[in-house]
Amino acid sequence: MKIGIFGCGGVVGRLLVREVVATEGCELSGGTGRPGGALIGVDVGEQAGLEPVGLAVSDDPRALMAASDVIIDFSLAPATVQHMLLAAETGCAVVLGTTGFGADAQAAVDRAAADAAIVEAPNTSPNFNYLLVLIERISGVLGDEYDAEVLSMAERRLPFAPSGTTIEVAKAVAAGRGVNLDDVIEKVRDGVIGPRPPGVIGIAIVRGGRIAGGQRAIFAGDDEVVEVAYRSTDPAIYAKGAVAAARWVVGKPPAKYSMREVFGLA
Amino acid sequence: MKIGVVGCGGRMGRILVSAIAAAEGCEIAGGTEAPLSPLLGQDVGAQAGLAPLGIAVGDDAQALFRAVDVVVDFTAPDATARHAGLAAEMSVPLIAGTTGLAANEQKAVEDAARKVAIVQAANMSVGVNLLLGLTEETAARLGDDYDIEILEMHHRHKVDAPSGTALALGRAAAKGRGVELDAVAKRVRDGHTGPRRAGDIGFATLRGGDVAGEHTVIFATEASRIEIVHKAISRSVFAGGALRAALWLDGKPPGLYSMRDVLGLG
Repeated sequence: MKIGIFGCGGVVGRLLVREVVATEGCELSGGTGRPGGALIGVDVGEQAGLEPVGLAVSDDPRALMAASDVIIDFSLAPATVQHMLLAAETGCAVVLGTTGFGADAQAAVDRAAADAAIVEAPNTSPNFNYLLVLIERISGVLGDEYDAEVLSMAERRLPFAPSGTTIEVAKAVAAGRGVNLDDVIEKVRDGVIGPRPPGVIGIAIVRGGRIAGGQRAIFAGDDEVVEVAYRSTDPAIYAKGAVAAARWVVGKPPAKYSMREVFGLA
Repeated sequence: MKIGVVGCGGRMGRILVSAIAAAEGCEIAGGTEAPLSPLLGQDVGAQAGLAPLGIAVGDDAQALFRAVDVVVDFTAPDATARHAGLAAEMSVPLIAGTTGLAANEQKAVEDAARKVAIVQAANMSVGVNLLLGLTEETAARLGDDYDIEILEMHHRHKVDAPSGTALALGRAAAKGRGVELDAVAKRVRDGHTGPRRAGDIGFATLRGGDVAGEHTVIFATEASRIEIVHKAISRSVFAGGALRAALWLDGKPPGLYSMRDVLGLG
């Protein structure tokens, strides 16, 4: 199976290169970097800390798609619309790990899913996706008599908030209650905010450090509090999960898939 | 729904009266106390610290069963065995939160449950029962690569350790793994413990202040960790669960049910 990596020079991108090379049955078909960036032309393996693999980091996502059975995309959000148009055009399967994109990119994802198999993968850790299952169950059992809050910590470099991972947590809370997250999300509290409106899902963001990230969903009732928390300390888990998703999605009919489906948790 | 409270003048009884009176769709339709109780004849609401409800505390449990849709019982083992008999005789469902039943008393409850629906639980808290169900499920799902640890904290007056709920969580985890808790429980660590034995379920106990009761179940593997937490805030937490059981029992066929049945946790 030929796997190409968009954004192969990022933190997860480099881990993906190593994971694909190390995984039996997988062959690295290449990697792309930011056009004009310093990595273009450098050996994909070398820049990931491996022996050279004889493939140069390219700035041509179309050519890499044509040479791959599946693309793992951990590039930056501004490129997502273009990548989805290419997926629709070539029918190449994509594991989309990019997060932080807007409504236009989301629409492009949905459109591409008519012609290509797309795994939407804002978080590729199997544990995290199991956490979503737990959160949805807890939220469903407790209902909105328990105030739901989501506390999220991520590394200091993450340039937007809430992260894709945090939104996944909040969506699981909303799904458990049968409501639409956009209708109930409360992302900012500052100043005289008044009492907490019933039924909202509050989000609090913490940033710091380099690698550790954590998510906590809190369900606060009058007489008891239930919390479920997830913490990860090694981004290699995301590379492993993304490669697992890539192997799973090849050969699937065009549609949008979730990581929960990949892990059999749906 | 008309709810009767036997033992309505006890600590739990008064909490139940308040919770039922405040719940939408529920009304207090009667309360009893033991013969010779100084509370007999007093108003059921007033003795619980509420506005008068116009119902006097009685000592005739049979009359109470006749007047209500469901009876809630947090009394004493011998009384609960009698009440179960009345429930069967009069086809009125029962919620039994009494603990410490002897074998013959438990048998009386089980016999009664052949003729009427009974919910019995040592701990009626929605959150604790949610934790028990999810702990078993998660232990089964995540397998032996995950180390399971159970952390609890209670107020300084508590005399036994680990708490009954911590041990129940340990049993749930062991059951999920298909092992006996006694074979894998690690209740004490002190001195040169050596590395953690694979498959152990560890307990850690904290005591201090007026903490009503906190339990954390930790599933830890390399580079990531899931935690499920319950924090009790007040004894009213049991009343909330009992109310939920009362509403759930409506129209259920005869049988002995658990809070996990009530919460749909299988």
